[in-house]
Amino acid sequence: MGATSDEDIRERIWNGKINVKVSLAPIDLKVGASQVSFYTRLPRNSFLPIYLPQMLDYFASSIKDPEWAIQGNWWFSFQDVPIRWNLPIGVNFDIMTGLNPDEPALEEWNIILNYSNYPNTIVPIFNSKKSNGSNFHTHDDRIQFFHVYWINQMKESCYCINGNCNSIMSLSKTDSNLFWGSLLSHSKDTFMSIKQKHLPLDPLNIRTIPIRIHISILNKVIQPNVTPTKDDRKDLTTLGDILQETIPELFPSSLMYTIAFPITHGIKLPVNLSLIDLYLYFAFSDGFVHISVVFNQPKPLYII
Amino acid sequence: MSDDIKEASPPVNNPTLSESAVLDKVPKTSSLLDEIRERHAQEVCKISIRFIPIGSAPEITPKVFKISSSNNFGALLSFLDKRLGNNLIYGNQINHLTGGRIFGYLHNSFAPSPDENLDNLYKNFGINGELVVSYSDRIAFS
Repeated sequence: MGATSDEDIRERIWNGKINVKVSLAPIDLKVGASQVSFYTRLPRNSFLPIYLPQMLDYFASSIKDPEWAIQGNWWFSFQDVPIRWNLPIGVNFDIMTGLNPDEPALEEWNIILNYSNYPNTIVPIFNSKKSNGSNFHTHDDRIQFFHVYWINQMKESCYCINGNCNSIMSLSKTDSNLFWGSLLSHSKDTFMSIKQKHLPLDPLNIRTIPIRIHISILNKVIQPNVTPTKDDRKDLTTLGDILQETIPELFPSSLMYTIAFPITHGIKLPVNLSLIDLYLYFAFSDGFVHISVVFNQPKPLYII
Repeated sequence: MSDDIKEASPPVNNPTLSESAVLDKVPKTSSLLDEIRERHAQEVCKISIRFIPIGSAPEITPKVFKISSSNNFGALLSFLDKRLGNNLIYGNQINHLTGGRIFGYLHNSFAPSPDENLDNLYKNFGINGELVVSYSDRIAFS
């Protein structure tokens, strides 16, 4: 069996997709319209706002008020819990389903597209009164808000890595547009070639690793300030190190994955993975590594 | 002596059925989560925030405030909007992530998401015991 190259691994991670079934919230359906569902495969390493327009196109004739199809604030939910549009799709999926990759997978992620009752537990997107009197924004407006949101997350991660945002702020107009475009079209090579410009040539020169650990059941995100090497500057910091340090209750030093384990991109990560490798292989397209803490479940007992 | 910013805690999502289902089966995990909650509650502290206006943004006095580390960045923006909102020129940009008129930045470079926790931001971007937040009445750094 041949060894998997670095490029293979990055390719597989980038191409990871989730089967998603989107249904319109009953309250937002046109009276008398029957429920239709939109089946799609969405990249783990992308964001729901990018795919919203195609869903709205599909549902246009079923929506209670046709105006809503072209403007307004849509939001997604899973099991009645709002999905955070600002987190990558794969992160939301891993967090909200709490699935163990060792168990059989869900055939599809069943989510609801809502218009009414925008929740106050997720980052809002506010309307602004436009000069023509309309106070809703269009798809284009919304995607522009997301663009600004995304580039700021990217800058934050760049600051972690370099101690400044110079590499992003000095991108040429062409490269900036290519970067954003590659996110929209989910094009790995273009995205990675520009992302590369924000990393030091030697990964040991990374100042701190941009990483977010999600303990969703506690509504907690921990973003530790962690360097690629330990105090002695010789040993690489590992995932096990940072989990023990931040959540010792779930990752006691002598027993690693007995209570919970870390997932990213639907993969159970090895405890001795260096943070450098974790970042270089698994960072999402917002510049951050996102780890979901998933709990072990007891195996069912079979009574003979 | 710095003033305190008192903001209500942001509302949070309930767990999904899938998440709760696991805990129902593993009572020990529930008690571990309680231990974590307890520890986090004890670790909550006050963070010093230094506000610096950018460009034509109005000054705020005093410049330094304290706020509980359990808050999110949005609490700072909300505070600035309440304090300064009336002094802003009508017709300026709206911050679409808050509905207000203030944009907040760290290190004069990036705008954290309003749902980012202040404890995380302080740990990663604090200097000399303070989180320095520069604020503007329009998008400042792109």
